[in-house]
Amino acid sequence: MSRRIMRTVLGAAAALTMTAAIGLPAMAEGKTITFMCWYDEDDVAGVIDALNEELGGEYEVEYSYVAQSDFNNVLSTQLAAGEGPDIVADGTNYPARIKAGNVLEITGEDFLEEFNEAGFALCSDGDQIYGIPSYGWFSGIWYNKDIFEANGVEVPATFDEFVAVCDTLAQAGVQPMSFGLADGDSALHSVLGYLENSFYHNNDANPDGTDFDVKFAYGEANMNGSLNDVVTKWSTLIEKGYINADMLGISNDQAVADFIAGNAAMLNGGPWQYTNFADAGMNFGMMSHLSESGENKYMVGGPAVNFGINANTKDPEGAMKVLKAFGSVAVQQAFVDANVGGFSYRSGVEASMPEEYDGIKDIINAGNIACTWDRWSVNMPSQSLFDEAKAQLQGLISGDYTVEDYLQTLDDMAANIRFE
Amino acid sequence: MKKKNKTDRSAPYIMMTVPALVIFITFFILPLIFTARYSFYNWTNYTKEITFSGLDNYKKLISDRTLSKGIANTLQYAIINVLLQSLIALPVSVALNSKLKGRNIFRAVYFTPAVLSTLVVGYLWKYLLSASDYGFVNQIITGLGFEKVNFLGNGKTGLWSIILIEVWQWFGWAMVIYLGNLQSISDDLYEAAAMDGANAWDRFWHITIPGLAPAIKINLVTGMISGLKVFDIVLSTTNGGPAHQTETILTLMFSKFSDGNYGYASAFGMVFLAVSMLLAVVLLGIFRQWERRLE
Repeated sequence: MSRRIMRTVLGAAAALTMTAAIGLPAMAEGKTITFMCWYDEDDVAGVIDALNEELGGEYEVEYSYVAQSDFNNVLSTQLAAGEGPDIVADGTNYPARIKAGNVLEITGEDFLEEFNEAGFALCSDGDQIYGIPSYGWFSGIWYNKDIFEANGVEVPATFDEFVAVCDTLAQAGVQPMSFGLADGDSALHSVLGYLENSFYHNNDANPDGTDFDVKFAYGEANMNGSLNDVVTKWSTLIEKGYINADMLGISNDQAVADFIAGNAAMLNGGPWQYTNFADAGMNFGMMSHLSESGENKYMVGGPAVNFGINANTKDPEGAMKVLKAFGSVAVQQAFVDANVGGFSYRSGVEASMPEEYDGIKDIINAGNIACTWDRWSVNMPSQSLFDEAKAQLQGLISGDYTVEDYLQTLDDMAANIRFE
Repeated sequence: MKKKNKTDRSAPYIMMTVPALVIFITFFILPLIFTARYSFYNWTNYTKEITFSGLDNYKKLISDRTLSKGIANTLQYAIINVLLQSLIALPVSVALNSKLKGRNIFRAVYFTPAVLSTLVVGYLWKYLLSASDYGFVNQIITGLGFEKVNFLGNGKTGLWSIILIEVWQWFGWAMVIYLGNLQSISDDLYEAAAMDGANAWDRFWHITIPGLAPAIKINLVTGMISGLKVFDIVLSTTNGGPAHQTETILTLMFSKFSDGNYGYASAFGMVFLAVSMLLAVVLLGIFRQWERRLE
C-alpha cells in the first residue's frame, strides 16, 4: 500500500516537473518584457497596472526592484555582461548609458512628439533621442506650519531670513532642521539648492550661469576657487550647529520620523514624501531652496527616471511597444499620481498640486527647476560625483575638511571620471 | 611492479581531490588571473572598448587618498578584532569549561550572535547606536547623565564601534573552538601541577595556554582572514562614512565596481591580495616561532 502511494506521489511529481519544464517557456516566450528600477513595488504598482492595461495582454511587464544604493552596480554589471532588463531605467546616469551604447536610439518615433524638450535633458545626445522621461521631480524644504505659527515665524524669503528663522526656533528650544546624514543626501540637496539660487543663477560673479557646470564637466573650470564663497556662506548652517556632526549618526528614515513627530521644524525633501506627511495628519507646507535676494528662485529637480530599450534585448519589437506604453497618458499619469506634486513632461497629463505646495507653485509654473548633477552628466557618470559629494560633505560637517578641501576633492574626483 | 601498486593505491585519493581542485581553479585561480589582467586595462562601464593602459590604474591608486585609509582601517580592524575576540573568548571558555551551573545556557547565549547574518546584525546595531533620540544605547547613556555619543557618525569612533559589534558577534565562535580544544587537555596535567604546588595562574599559563596552541592558531588565522575581508558589517552600519573614515579595502573595491570602473577596481583587488599575502606570511612566521618555543 505504502509503495503504491509512493509510486503515485513520485509519478505525480515527475508529471508536474515535465509540465513545468515544457509549459513555462511556452508561457513566457516573447510575451514578457522586463524592467528594473529602485521604486518600491507598492509605489510602482499603479504604473505596472496602467502599463499592462495599455498593452492589452499582448505583452506583460515584469518588474524587479533593486535598492537605489545597489542599482547602479546591479544594472552596470548586467549591461556589461550583455544582459539586463529589456527596458533600461536610470536617472542621472542615463547619459552614461547612452555613451556606453547600452540603449537603442529611438529618434523619430511619433510618440516622442507628445513630450516637451526639457523632458529629454537626460535621454538625448544632441539631436538623437534614446529614451523618454517618467515624471519631473523637485526638492525643496518641508516645514511644519504648526511649529512656525507657535513660534511666530514666517516662511523666509532669503537665506539670511532662513538663518534668522533657525535662530528663533533654536532659541525657543525647537530643533530647526532634521537631517539624517548617515545615509541621506538631504544636506547635499541643501547646499546644491543654495548654489542653484546663489551661484548658477542670480550671481553676477558667475557670468557662465549654468554653463559653469558644462565647463566643469569638460575640465575647463574647477569648483575650488569658484564656489568657495558661496559654499562658505551656506556653511553658516554648520557653524551655527543647525547641520551638525550628530546628524552623521542618524539615518534618513529616522530624520523623517523626527519631522513627522514634530521634533524638528523643517526637513529637506520632495514630493515622494508627501503621502507620509499627509497620512500622519501633519499641517505642513513646502518652501523653496533659498537665494540671497529672495527673487528668481529655483527648485532642484528635473526628469526623474528615464526609460529606454536595452541594446541587448532579445525582443526589440516588444520592448518598443512597452516603451510606447510608458509614454502613454495613462502610464505617465500613474507616475504623477504616485508622486503627489510631481509634474509631467507629456501633454495630456494632469498634475495636481495640493495646497501644501502653494509656496512653490509659481516657481514650478515658471519652469525654474534645475539640477547641478544633471548638467555634469554631459561628460561624466555624474552619479559617481554626486555620491562622492555626499560622502565628502560629511567631512565638511564633521569639521574634518575645510570648504577648500571639500571642493578640491570633488575636482580631483571629476578629473578621474571624465569621459574625455 | 611495486611502482604500479603505489600508483594504483594513490589514484583514488588523487581522484578525490579533483572536484575541489576544479572548484578552486574555476572560482579562485581563473578569476585571479582575469583580475590581474584587467588591472592593466582601462575598462569602465561607460566606454565601448577595453583598452590596455599599462600601469595607469596603479598610478591612480597611489594618488587615491582613500586607499591608504582603506588599508590602515582594514589592518586595524583585522588585528584588533581578532585579538579582542580571543582575549574575551579565552577566559570565558576556561570558565565555561569548569563545572559551572548553567554553563550550557551561557554557551548557547554567547554563541547565538554568530548564527545571525552579519548584515542583520549591522542594521540592528545601527539603530541601537543611532545618535537620534531613538538610539537605545544613547538613551541609556543620557539617562545616566552622560553626553550622547555619536558612535557610527564620527570618524574617530566609527571604526571602533564596528570592531566592537563584530567582537560581540563572533567571540562566541572563538569560544566554541577554545572549548573544544580545552576538553582535549588531560585533567592529569592539572592534577599533577596542583600536586607540585602550581597555583591557578601557573596552571593557566603553563598548561592551558600551550595546550590551546592549535585553537589559538586556528582562531587567529581564520579571524585575521575574515578580518581582512571585512565588508558587510561596514556596508550595513556606516557604508564607509562619514567621509570615507571607515572604508576598508573591500568597501572601496565595491564602490569602484559600483561606479563601473572595473579596471581600477581590479587594481584594488590586487592590492587586497598583496596585503593579505603579506599579512599571512607575517602571521605564519610568528606561529612558527611560537611553535618552536613550545617544542
